[in-house]
Amino acid sequence: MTTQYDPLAATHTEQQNLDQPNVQGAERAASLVGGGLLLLGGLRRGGLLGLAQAALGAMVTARGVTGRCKAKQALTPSPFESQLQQEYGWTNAEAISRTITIGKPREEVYAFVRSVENLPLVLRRVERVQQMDTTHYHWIALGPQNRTVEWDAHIEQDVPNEKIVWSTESTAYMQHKGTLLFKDAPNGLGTELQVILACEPPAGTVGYAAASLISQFSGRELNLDLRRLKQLLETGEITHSLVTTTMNKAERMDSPASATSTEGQPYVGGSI
Amino acid sequence: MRALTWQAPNKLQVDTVPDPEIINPRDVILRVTMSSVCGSDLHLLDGYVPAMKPGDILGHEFMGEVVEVGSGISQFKKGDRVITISIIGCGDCEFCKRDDFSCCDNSNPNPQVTDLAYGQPCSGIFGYSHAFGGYAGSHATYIRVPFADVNLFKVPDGITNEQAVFVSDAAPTGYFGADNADIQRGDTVAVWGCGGVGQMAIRSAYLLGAERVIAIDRIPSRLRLAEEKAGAIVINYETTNVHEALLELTGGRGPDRCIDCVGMEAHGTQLDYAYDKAKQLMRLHTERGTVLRQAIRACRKGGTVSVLGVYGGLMDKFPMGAIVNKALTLRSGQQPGQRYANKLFEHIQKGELDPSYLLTHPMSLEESPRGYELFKHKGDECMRAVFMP
Repeated sequence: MTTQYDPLAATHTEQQNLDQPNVQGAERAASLVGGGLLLLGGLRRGGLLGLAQAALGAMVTARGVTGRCKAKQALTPSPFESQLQQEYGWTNAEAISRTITIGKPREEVYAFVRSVENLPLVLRRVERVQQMDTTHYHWIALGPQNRTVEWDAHIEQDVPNEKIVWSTESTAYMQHKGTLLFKDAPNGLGTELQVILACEPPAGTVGYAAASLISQFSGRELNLDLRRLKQLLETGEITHSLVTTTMNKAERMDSPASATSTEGQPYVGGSI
Repeated sequence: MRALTWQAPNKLQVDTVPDPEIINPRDVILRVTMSSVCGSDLHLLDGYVPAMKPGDILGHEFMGEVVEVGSGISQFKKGDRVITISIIGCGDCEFCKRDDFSCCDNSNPNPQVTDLAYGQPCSGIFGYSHAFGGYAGSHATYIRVPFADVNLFKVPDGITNEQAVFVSDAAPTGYFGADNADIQRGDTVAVWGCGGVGQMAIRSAYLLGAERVIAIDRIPSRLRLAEEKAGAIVINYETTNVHEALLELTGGRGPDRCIDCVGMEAHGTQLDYAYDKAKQLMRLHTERGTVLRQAIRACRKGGTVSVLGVYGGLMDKFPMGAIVNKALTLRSGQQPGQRYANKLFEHIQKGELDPSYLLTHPMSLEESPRGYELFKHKGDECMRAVFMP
């Protein structure tokens, strides 16, 4: 039986309400006292700087009075991340999860993605994947500024039609651990494919915050790639509104919603 | 090839651009023979849609001749005379399989915009901004049609181009609106807006069993056509109180079914546009919200309000109370023309429907900027300008 992750726990902080106080005890007391001092000091000081100091004081005081802080919340791992952190034995976890329904049987979806060499077709940033042995793969992709980045990954767990878990080698540039979960969708709608990508960011809240930015970016990217996988498996092709085929992968990445820009001519409505 | 391109708000120009090529196996390239303007182009034109880029080709209601066929297409061959449904379906996703082609999951190659704005990605549409896929439009010499096996329909013999071209969009949109309205035999149906779609909705309401159709507009030439060609009782809202008139015409009950063919003329919501920009966008169009409010208020208790007009974002002062307390049903959608095309061709062949009167201004592609000018300002009694590249 594969591990089931609570989908509600998978979403990140912006969907969570601040119904429950997240600033408590000594921290809350410090906010109250410190905020109050800042506020009073600012008012006594006067002028523009004083006003700014008073405003900051008011915010910190509010944090103490209500026991709620949005800034702190954004830096706190979601329940889902805490769950992964425990499972993986990490000190810290940054994770994203995206699920898509593909109107094909589980066996077919599994077989397609398990043939890792298929993946560059749908993963827009991946140039190619070289198979080293049955479980080890060398990945070549476009990194930031379209520089080539490479890493090695191996499959840790492979339960046909249910689950694939892989991990990057410790020296990898894009160090992460990934899980694919395959479930039957209700009413014969095909397969629900869940992708979980997790990384162990460098120590503490600051590292978490940095990695958090990365994951927001890749969450959207992951969604787009999953859409392409769905298109390919359901329709046999990846949807394009390109007018001509002359662009290479890097050029397409750079023109997200535009089309063929052939020299000096206006480009024609289209996108990839 | 030549194409009508959007350059900036209210700035269109005919340019030379690269010819389209077959990209995917299920593609077909058409030589466009007729390409119509549509009311929904106007807010692209006016620049209310942030997802437009200079150089985008407009046009989504069209027909043509097959000139090139992808390797995955066996139903069509060079020389076939075909129409294309303007909203693209893939034929394979959950929605296409249940004939809800306009909800297609796969036809928008740029799904993130509508995904964020509406909660799920919407289907691709020809020539309709990058939010709806960034497909090149049909006001051009050639056009590439994806998933051609699903979106192309051969025009049967005996049907003229002038009739067929509107089976691409105006006719199935009107028919879809009437179908959605759940018209029962003997019903009185009110239709707001007597443009191309409104005219088709009036005719379709009769085909689906309406006893009387009341049409509302302000342009005398359009009201005249609604009366003469589509058989409606007409109300000019500039001279008549619509609510009172509708109640008087229905014995105080209100129309059984109401169809909004006007919309809000504001469909763009790109994500990175700040909240106040959206507000500004809406403020430009608050007047258009009056049609939907009027329809909801007039509709008889337990009736249906079918919304075809284009709405794009958030509506202010939406009369939810009337919907709840009068037990109204509200239905809507973009047209799944793939569901109706062959049926509409049959109606045309039997003489029960003739959309050709919508074509008031045939023009060459080179004249197309002037065509939009006429259409936008309803000059010269223009119902539809149609370009023949």
